[in-house]
Amino acid sequence: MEVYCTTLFQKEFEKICKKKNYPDCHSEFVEYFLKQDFKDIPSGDMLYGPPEMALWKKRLPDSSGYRFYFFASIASECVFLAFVHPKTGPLGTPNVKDQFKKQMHRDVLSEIKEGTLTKVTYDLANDTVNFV
Amino acid sequence: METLTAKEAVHCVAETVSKVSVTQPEIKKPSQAAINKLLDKISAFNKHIEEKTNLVIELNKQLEKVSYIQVSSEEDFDLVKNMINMLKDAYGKTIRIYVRDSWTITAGCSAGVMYALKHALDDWKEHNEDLEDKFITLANDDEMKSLSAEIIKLTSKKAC
Repeated sequence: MEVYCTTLFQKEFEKICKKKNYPDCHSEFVEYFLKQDFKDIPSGDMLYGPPEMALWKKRLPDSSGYRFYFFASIASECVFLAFVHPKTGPLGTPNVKDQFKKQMHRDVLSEIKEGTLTKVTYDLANDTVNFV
Repeated sequence: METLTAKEAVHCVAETVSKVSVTQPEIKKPSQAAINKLLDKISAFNKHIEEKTNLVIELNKQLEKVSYIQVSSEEDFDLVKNMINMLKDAYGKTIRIYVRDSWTITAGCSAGVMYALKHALDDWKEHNEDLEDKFITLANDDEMKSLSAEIIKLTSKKAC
């Protein structure tokens, strides 16, 4: 399995992790996306698209936590992270609108075409998420 | 440091004491029966809110499964559309009742259960919006269809 992310995802993820209000964002992300098998990742709400390549929303760790938006390609076992936001706190947002869901599709598509998607890896020894 | 004479000090103290000892409006101690009745009402209310919260949590789990549905006919579309309208109506009624009863949070008798219910209701609202986007707003959006199809094409085994 390989995990990729858009420029927007990386920017938002790093912004959230820097805030003291969200101490568990990093660990929740690592546990769910970087330590699990691919088969366990596509879950939550299927926001759009056929199951083989749907846009998903995952609440981590629960309903009052973070919302991770990602595409999961069943055929290639690749995850494409598109956006993340917390539900509460200073960076909290209740939900995203339909037009933004479309924008996530545009972002992922254009970054696939341009080859600018960033690969996301986990450094177990240092417990760090690397954007390569 | 300001030094008062004995006369001045006694005068100040006497004046303050006279204000403290002024009679205040009396509030009668309620009977134990009245207190018990009120506590029973609060307890029943909290139990009701907990039950409602569990129902909404269950509903949210069901709505997650609804998001997996693939609408393949006009009949399916009508069913899902009617369900979304029903969900929005029911949410509107439920949140109005929540707002009506939210004084219990500041009164300090039901804060915990009311906050838990609000979390569940927020999730319900989010599900309603996402389902409406998926099955109604974006379902017939040609640009969305085209974007999705192109992503599928590019992320086939070979491309990824």
